[in-house]
Amino acid sequence: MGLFSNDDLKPGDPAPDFDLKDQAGKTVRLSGLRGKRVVLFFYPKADTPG
Amino acid sequence: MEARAFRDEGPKYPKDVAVVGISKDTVEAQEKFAKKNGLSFPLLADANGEVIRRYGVDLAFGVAKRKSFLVDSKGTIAKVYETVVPSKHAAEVLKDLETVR
Repeated sequence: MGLFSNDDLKPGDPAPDFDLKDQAGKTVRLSGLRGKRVVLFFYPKADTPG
Repeated sequence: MEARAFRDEGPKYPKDVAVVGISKDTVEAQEKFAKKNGLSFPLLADANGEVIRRYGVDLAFGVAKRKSFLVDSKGTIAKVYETVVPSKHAAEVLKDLETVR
């Protein structure tokens, strides 16, 4: 499991950085949240009961 | 249900915790979803699924399966939630935050 492995992220691994736009079109970068604890939840689809 | 639970539990969360949702949606779809449910935390649009893949989140019928990560203040993964029960998840994470710095 090297740095470039796609799966099997586990406790102790660095959380892969990313930048994506939020619902307001504002870019959110994971590394920009450093110093905060982050709950990252992946969910199926915005237009279904989620 | 899951996102709304985070909304409802949000006031109980410590101030140094950021709740961030990600799905294979466009900014426009996230905007509608956030408005409809009164969600104030970021809902990120991963329309091409790049981050979903990078985090090893499985796709089913073209959309992300539920999976969550708790990331500590140094950017290290503290906990992986392979199974997420939407109605219980926000409370479960809140409890785990007691031991993650």
